[in-house]
Amino acid sequence: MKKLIIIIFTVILALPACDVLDIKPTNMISEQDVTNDPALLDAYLTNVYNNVRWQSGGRSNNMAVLAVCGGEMNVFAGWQGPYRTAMTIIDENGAPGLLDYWPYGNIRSTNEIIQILQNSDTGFDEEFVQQKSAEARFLRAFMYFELVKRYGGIPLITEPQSIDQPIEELYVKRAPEAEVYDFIANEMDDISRILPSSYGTDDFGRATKWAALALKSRAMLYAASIAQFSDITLPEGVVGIPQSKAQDYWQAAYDASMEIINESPHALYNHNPDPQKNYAEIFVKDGNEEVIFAEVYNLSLLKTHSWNFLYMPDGFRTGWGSNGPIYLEFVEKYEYKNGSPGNLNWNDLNGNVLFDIDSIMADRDPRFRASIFYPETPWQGSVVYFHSKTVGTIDSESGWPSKAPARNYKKSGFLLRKRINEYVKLPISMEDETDWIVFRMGEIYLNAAEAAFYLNKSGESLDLLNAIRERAGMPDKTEVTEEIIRNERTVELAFEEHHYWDLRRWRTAVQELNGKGFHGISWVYNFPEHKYTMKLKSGEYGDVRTFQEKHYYLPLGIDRLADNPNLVENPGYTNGGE
Amino acid sequence: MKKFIQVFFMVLLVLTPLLAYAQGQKVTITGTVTDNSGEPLPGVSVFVKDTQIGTVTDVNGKYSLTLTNDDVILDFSFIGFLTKEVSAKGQKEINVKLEEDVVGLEETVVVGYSKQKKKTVSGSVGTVTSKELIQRPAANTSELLQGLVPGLVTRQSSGLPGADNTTLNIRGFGSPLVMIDGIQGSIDQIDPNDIESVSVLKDASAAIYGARAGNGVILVTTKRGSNKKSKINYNGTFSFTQPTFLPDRVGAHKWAEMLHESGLDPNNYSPHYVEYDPDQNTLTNILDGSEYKGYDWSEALYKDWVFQQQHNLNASGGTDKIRYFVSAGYTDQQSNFKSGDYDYNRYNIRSNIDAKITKDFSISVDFSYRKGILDKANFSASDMYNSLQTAKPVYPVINEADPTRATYSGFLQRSPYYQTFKDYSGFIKDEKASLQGAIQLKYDLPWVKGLSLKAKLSYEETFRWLKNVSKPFDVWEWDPTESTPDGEWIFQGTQGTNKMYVYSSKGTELLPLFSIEYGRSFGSHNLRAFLISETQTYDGTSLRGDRKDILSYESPYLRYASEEGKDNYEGTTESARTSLIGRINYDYKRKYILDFTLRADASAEYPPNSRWGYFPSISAAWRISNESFIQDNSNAIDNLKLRLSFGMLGNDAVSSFDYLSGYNISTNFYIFGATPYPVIYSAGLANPDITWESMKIYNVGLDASFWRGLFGFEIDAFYRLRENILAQPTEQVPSTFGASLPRTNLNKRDNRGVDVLLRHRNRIGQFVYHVNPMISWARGKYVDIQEEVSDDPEWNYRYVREGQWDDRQWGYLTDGFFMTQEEINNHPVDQDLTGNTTLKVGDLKYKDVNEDGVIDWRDQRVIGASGLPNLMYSIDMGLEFKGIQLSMLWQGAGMYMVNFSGSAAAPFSNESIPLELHYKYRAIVETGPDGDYIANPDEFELPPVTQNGRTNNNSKASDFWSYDTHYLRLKNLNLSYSLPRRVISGAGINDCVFYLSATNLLTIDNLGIWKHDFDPEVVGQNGRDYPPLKTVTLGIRFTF
Repeated sequence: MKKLIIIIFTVILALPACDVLDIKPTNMISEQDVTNDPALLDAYLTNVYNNVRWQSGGRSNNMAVLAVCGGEMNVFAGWQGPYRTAMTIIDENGAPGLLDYWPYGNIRSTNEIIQILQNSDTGFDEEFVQQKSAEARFLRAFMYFELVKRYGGIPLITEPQSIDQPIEELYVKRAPEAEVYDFIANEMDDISRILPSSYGTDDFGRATKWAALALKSRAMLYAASIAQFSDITLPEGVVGIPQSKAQDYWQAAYDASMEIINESPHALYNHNPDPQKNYAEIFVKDGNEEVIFAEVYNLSLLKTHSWNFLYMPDGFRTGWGSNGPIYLEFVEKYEYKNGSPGNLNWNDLNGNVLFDIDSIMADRDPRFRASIFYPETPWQGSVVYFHSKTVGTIDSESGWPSKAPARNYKKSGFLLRKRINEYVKLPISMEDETDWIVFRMGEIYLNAAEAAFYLNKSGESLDLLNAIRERAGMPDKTEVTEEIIRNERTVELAFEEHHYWDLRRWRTAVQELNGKGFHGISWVYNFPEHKYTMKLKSGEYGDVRTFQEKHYYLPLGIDRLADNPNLVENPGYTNGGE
Repeated sequence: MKKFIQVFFMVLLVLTPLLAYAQGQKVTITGTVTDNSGEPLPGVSVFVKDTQIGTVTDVNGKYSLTLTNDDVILDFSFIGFLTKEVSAKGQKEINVKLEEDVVGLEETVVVGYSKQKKKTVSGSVGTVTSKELIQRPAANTSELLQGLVPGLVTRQSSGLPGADNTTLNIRGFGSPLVMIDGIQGSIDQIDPNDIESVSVLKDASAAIYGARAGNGVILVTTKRGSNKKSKINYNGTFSFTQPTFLPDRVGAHKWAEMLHESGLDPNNYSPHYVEYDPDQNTLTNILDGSEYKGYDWSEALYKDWVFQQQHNLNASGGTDKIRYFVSAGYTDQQSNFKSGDYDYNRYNIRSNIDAKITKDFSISVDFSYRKGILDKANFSASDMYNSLQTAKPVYPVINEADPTRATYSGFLQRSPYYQTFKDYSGFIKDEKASLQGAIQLKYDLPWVKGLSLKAKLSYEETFRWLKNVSKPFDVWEWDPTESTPDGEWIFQGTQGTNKMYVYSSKGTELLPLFSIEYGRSFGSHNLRAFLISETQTYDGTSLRGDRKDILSYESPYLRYASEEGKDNYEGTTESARTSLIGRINYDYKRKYILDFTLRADASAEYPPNSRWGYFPSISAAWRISNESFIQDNSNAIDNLKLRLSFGMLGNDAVSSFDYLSGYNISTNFYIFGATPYPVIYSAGLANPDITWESMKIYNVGLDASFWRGLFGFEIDAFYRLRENILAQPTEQVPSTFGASLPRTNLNKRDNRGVDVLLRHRNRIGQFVYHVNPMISWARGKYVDIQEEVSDDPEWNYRYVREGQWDDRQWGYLTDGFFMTQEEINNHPVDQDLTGNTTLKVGDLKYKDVNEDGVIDWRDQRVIGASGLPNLMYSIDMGLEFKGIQLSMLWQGAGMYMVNFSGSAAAPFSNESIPLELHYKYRAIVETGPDGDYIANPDEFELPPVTQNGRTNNNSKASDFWSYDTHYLRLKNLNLSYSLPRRVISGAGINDCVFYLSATNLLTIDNLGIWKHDFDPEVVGQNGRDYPPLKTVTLGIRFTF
């Protein structure tokens, strides 16, 4: 008995229960499975789509970041991310806020997927290998384009690196800026021969042949602009493209654009006789033929954003709302319906001169009315108001409010309308499901027009430009100039994350943005006259924009420089060249 | 209250059968018990050793005891005195003089898996006894530890019911392991009345807990019954609470004045019928032309002095066969929100039973149950504070036209007052319960003296059930001037959405333990040893279901909500560890003490080849005071003990299956067409060799007591080296590699510090008083760390951390303000990197420390230590006179940073309403012929008001907004009165104490202009916190 007890105890003590330690994590899939199972590999590729950040500001509160940086619009409050990003002076220490983008993790995933597909000896079928590789290459090129337009030449990595590689291979140098653009062009040429023209409605949102060519069209336009307009350089072409290459790039942009225009099933959306309504529908009728590539949203599948919620004007909102005051200077870029310039005489914006709202606002370009709310814009069966005060006795029968809901007049006196779905009443945060359009035909026409212009094909350029204007309900131009092309592009693609990058590639951002404080209007309604007075006011929150020559390239930043001695900083920043 | 009565009867039901015991009679012994000075001691227990037979002394210290047999030993014991044993054989009268236990050397101290007498403890162990824990009221045990243990860093940053626990941190190490009767738990899950003692293992003494013990261990031991006379205790408190500090916001006129000053038009922020006249600097109500006064939203939200109560009823006692401790407690906390819809209730039930089955075989059965219920309106405090700080004083809190409509507060759809009501925002009910049980069998082997075997199974089941029903409510502004003659309601949006979720989880922990113990004395050699094997498994699972569009709030159930957009989620966790633990404790004449421990731990989260870790410790103590050269020459030294210890510990709460590579499934979907496609992502590169952090800790200590406790001290100094800290090996791959390298056990950090406790205790006639100050300092450094090193020495100075303190906070050094535009124009330093073109009068001026003509990161300097206080201090003082006791606990901290940010720092940031202090201290900028200048140059301390809070220039991290803080607060003031025994003994009451106690009454700090609005224990001040509470409590304790 004695011995038995002691023996039992000794055994228990000596053998702690080791088998209880055989636990596996509950949400893990093995590497082996992913290299064998097409569904898992596709799920991994889907993760890359999911992480690209198609909208630069994300899908909630910072959506407008590029429009604010580009001087198109402001946000409702000065502490919001987009305004802070636009006003912060970018240097090598402070990362460029919401403008920063360094998706090498996601690029690595594309490289891994391509490698898995190439090395697979377990028999993914050839079609699958071709298709998925092409999608991965599209995504990779898209991310490299987002990098090169920010930083200039960047390390171009096309295979997944291994930690066992020699140091000199791991510390990749920045490729010349031109080489990155060439890479994008070659890749898109290649995969545009593999990818299908469309997937039907089932897989809308995957990369197509036309998405690949659209990326090429845009990238080549940027490369050509930099060659033509930029004189910032780093040794070995890390930034800067020789001017001699400009023509080739214009040509490439032109060719890719024309191929889409001539051969793709995509066309300018033109289903509604009312040009204003027609233009507005491009952005809310998901998957229409104008859209070449989009990030798909769907409320019932729980993928949503907050566009309607953020930008719905006061009086029609449940919560935030009115978050997109438009600068007066941007309003002026919209011509009048008859084609005359949209500028106002600022001497009259003194609070004394009476204006008829129809003749100064409602009579503008139909795209203006589809993109921007101004006083008395008809909306959801009612009217959006902007006046901060009414002068004279209001006839109570008229239903005229003595002043507009507060959020509408607080800032610039205009609000963003584009892409808001009029049929959504009282929108709720993160319940919006309009797709985010990445490439559409309007841009392709304008890319082609711009490229044609610099290729001295003025006639063709004019035709392309007028195609856009005709769809918009605007009279034809009779000639093309650099200024006309740029203004048309600014107006047609407003608030679609183009203008800021355009100012940069045209190298006009210093002139357009540096030291600037943009403006808004204080509207006062004169009831007896049924007219408004307009008074100029600041559209900013007390800060002044800074855009210096060096900001045409964002800094890589001291952290990235410190962890790779082979990187050089961009010109003008500490540790930078020149 | 109804629930409390139910609980009370349940306890009685358990108690009744245990209360009976037998008596006999033969010999009568009488006597008097006195203290050292000859004063009679009432209430001393006089018992036959190891039995239930006995009595207590009366008011005059006299007792009378009748025995059936006088061949016994009588045991005289009284709290605070050394127990004395006297043989009764042949005695008729035994008079006893009890020695005060001034030094507490005979006290038992719980250490890892065992107990030791305080005099033989060789590690650095802080203790808190039950007496200290029930002296003052607190909802949480953690709060009671503030200021009582040297080296314990404490911070209470919120007084919100259910979230008002104090964070505990031993010597700045990190979150400690808390063991409650051997099961890992949270110290706040236990009723303070149930606690016998709390031990804080600060050095190698924690090593016996191995891979979890790296940050020190707090051991909580619950009360058990004794074979003494049965006792029933009641402890009840009734408290009134109010927040310590609340930010004081400006009223309507000052608000308008500041808005105007910032360049904004107050009319754009006011209701339609309120007008601001910039010339008169007044707000006018245009309805009647009178001056507009405005409303105080903060005042409307709070009630003063809210009631809280706590009750505990427990009973203990037993026979020599069976002993019990049973207890039931109830805590009821309400918030200071006027809605009353924010309550926390907690119930604790415990029963600890020990039974002797045979002479050698005993069994213990413990059971405890705890349930905490948070029941509140559907809002988070921080969200509500966010709304409160933007509530404009020109909008009424309640609209008299229709008080049932939620009012607009001037910004968005926010309605901070109505939000706090369940009827408007919906509700959250969060119930957390845990059930613990343990059965222990112990067998003393009769054939080997001192050898015993023990088997124990502990079990814990935790449950959580949370329901969140979110109700949208419309927010309205009343405009008495609008078109209709009676005014008009303006819809200002909807707060909240119509949705709900239910979350529930359960966790099961099983902890079987087997031990073999040996303890015996051989002459002057005392030896104790044990070997334990312990296995712990945890299995947890949770389930959450979400739906939208609840049909009716009368039936807030998932099944009555819409099918569209419904969502659910299951979560799982599993963990397991297994351990072998051994200890050998040896002493010679209680003079030379040696203690070895060794623990081997294996955890499932590590790869099989590096799963086992070994954690040894050794400690030694030398009681110099027991040496004859001291004892023979002086009787001034009661105790003098030198302690040395070294141990190796681990911290395994740092990784979860990092040794496996593969892919994780995301809860996200990406959509193509109209189909959600699943997403998997790479878990990253794996580290097949990953293991836990390991620590080496060294401690040297000296304990002393002189002149019978008149003066004493305990001093400890420690050094801890923390190795194998997981870090990304940054040097090996650049940011373009695209995957973070697996975390590897690379970095080293250390901590060092000193804890000092001084004791002074004296008796002057009937007065007894004590003063125990304590102070501790601790700080850590980076010893060896993976980081980028550049060629630029300034970069290295600023960013390289190796060899530096680990809590340095960097910022710019300010040098006053720019007083005129001319001063900006002539400023030799480029402060904004654009030639000072963005600077304005009144902006902060920064020092160009490196004198390179520009202000950039190179000019940042260390402006203090962030995070936890490096310095903690307290003074515990007490005075006793007859039945009256007055005690005070002052507690404070220093050498840490309080940062003012957000609306606390700057008016109008995030649309907030400025504070009174902003109004009082702001610079006022005016424009003169020479440009802008500051109009109140001698009176201001803050930059001028801007539209947007702080500008780029003024919001830089700097010594301007960060305070190297010290505070001292009267944590507790306690006045108690024990009714004289002669008054109460007739009523069958042994002890009856009334007390009046106040916490956080007074705070002294160095927060400058912010000191009247913010609590120094809340570190990241942004004005969005529910601060700790000031409480005044009436308490009563009695013992039958």
